[in-house]
Amino acid sequence: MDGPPRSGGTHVIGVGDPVPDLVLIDHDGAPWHVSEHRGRPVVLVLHRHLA
Amino acid sequence: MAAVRDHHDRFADAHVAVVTFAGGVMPAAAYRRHLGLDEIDVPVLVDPDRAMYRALGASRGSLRRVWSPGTLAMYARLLRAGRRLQRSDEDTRQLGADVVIDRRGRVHRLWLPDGPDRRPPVSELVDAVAELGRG
Repeated sequence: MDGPPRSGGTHVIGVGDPVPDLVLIDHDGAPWHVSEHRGRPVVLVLHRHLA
Repeated sequence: MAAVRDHHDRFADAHVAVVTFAGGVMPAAAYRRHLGLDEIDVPVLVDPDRAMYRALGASRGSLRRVWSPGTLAMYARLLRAGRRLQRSDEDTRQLGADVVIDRRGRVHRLWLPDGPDRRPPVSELVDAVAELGRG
């Protein structure tokens, strides 16, 4: 199987790759890290927009 | 999103979160309440720079694809079901994604739908979590 696609110089991750520990902001304004949830499966539903 | 809320108990010990890239129309906390996600302790996370979207390969769709007959039919179904849709001034061409991350922080399954009407059924997400077994 081919590796994950790359676009515009941005590495796009695929199955088996570690998810980068990007900082997201939760609904209370607190930082949220994927790494803080190691040990449990995490499901992220990336929404399109707030409609 | 309603499917995630309605089937939340099927995700076992998984941590489920909804990610959005904007909060202009409705702040994330209000949006969370609007969807009833506060009742099941599912956070709404904001990714203002769309870094996670880019990392996962969630692209912007063409106008033709984003506003396809399938998309319009999907919104019609939501309206018939009583969902109140709101006008958005955000980037409506940004496509979403769904990812299940394993206990070590690696991508277990990734869905990159090419249109709003192509999101995976919640059962596929539940099955992917089940593949990871209990911790």
